[in-house]
Amino acid sequence: MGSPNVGKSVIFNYLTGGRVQVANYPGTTVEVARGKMIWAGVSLEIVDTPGIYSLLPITAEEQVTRRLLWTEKPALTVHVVDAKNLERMLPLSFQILEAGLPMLLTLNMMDEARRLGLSFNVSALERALGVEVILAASIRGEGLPELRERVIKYVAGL
Amino acid sequence: MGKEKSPPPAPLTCWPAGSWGTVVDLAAEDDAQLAKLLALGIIPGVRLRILRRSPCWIIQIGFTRLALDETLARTILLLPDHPPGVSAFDRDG
Amino acid sequence: MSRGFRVDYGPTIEGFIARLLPLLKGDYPFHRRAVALLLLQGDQEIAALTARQEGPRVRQIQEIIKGAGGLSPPPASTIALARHRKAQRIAQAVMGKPLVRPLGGLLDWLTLWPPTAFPILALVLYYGLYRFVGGLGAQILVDFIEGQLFQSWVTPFAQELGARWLSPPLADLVAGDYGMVTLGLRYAVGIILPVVGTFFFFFSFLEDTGYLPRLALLADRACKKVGLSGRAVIPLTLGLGCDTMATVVTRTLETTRERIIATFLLALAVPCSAQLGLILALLGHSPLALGIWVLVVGTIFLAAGHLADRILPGPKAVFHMELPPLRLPVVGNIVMKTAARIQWYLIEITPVFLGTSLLLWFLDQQGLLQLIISALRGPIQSLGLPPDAAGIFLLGFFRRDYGAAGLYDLRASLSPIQLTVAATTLTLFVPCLAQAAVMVKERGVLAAMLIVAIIVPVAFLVGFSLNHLLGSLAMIGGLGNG
Repeated sequence: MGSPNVGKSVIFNYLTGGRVQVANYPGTTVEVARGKMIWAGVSLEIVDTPGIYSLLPITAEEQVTRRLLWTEKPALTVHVVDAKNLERMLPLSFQILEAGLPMLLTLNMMDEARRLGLSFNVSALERALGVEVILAASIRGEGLPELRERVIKYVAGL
Repeated sequence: MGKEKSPPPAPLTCWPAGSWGTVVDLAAEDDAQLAKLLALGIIPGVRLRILRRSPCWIIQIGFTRLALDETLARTILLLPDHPPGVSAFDRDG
Repeated sequence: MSRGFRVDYGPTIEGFIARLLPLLKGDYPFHRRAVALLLLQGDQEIAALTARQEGPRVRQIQEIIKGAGGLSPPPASTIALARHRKAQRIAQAVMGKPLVRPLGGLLDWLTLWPPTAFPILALVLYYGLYRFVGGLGAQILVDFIEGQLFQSWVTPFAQELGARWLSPPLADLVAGDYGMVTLGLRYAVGIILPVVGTFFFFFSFLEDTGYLPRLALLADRACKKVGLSGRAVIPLTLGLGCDTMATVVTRTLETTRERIIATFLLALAVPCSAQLGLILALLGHSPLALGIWVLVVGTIFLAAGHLADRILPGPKAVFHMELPPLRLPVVGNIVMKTAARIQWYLIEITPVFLGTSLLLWFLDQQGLLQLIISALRGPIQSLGLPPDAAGIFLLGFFRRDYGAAGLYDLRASLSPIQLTVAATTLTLFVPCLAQAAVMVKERGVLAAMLIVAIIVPVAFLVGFSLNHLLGSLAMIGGLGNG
């Protein structure tokens, strides 16, 4: 999950290998994509939630995303953020953590961040939030194999 | 810079392109609009810069640019760093 | 995984949280602190959920929420600010200082500065929509898939199968005039798919380059005139390809009000590629007639949007969008997105076309089609058109190429005025049954019926007035003899 325009769907397509089902969330016109990830003998259902800014719902997309989190109690949420805008995207991470949902933070669009000369102290960020952090540039495929591995490790290793 | 007396806060739409300022209040019409602005990162206390006034309002907060229409831009009460007309281009670069 | 993470919201909010926590005894999938925070921010859905679980404590909970609601600044604002401050602290601590000045670049600036932005916009739309979607999709690919594959292979094959294995009514259901293969599948796959497929590719390209928000913001002022925000530029332009698909895409608009206005305008005054093709064929030889058509349809579009904006209740459309930097897209990602969208289209829209042909087949079998056609003769004659045109109007609603071909056949016997009136009325008239079906699916029966109930009289009234107006003008100026 994450805000609009952070590259969620590319990551989602990578994890699911394109085996995707898109359907309207019951009673709404918001689309939710679901797919299966089968890797290293583990089969997981992956859900691509609509782009949202906050868990306090204003739009139908936010309402649907929150209902998904509320009713389906995900084993792990992958919060994808635009690394350049970490500061503006962290509040949603906070809300996921406050809700008590297990989370893996993915700083995406690292290629653009690097072009701006930005660098990140990953371990300091991991300490500050108490969750694992991954750097990725999904559009180039960077960091995605590692992301898949961590997802498997987390879910299977529980 | 910054010793001049700051003008009082006024809607974002009153200030020229290039102005830096601090959001002091949001005159949102309802809770939904307020929540929308907050979620976009437009929060009282946040500093922003007006990049363009046309073809619609474009502001910069951190590394994000947001396009807003007149209605939303008018709800943002901004306390500018400088008197209007003074370029703020060289600051915070 | 997240033990001990906490944002401090300051004494006032923390005080309210501390009062709420002991009252929240139910079983919640979120931590109770998060539930309390949502309640304090006025979350109605969560309030209803807690009310169900907390029985006797509901009154107390509501009192606390009410107390918090009276705070100034409102809790939502205080909470957002506390989160923002914490995010700022963390980000500053973990991010290295940027070396490069962020954002901008010449191309970026050129796409926003109005004197260059609008010409660039025109170029993007010309090459993207007109040349790529209109040229490659609507002509070359349609000619190939519909013209070659279907007409030479699929349709004869289905007819052959039907004739050999099925009794006449059932054979018609598969391969007759309104057959599920010859009409439903041919429309969904042969005519619409190439158009929306190329459109999806163009759309994904705009998305991945970061141009899409620019398109929306440049169009915002124009869209506001018809009660829509800049976001609506996407379904409205898609409507020029296929109104059925565009009606589905109105989902991307923020409010129900905007979705209804956009659905209404698409149905009334946005001609789809099939209609555009017909109108160009009919009026193309007469610049004056084409000009009148553009003027009338354009005026109706603006007037209808403006009126809908004034009449419909609810807050006016507002526009906000994040403006990403322009970037070079990766072709693989565009292809992947396009493929996912095409898959979605096939699942969502194909059944609509198949269902439509089923309904038509049924009406035809029962002889009801002829009945409706004869009922239409009166209104058609009042437009100054020959009664034969009634069939064309009805079939145009069900099956566009029939309407087109029929009108084309009548072309020789119609005067320029009659042609202009017929083309204008057909444009405004509900475009096709598939679109009507999608309107019901997306907006509900009531809204869809209301829209149709407005459109049909408006279309005829405009046609009627146009006929009389042009008729009297012709008497003065001599337009009629040509």
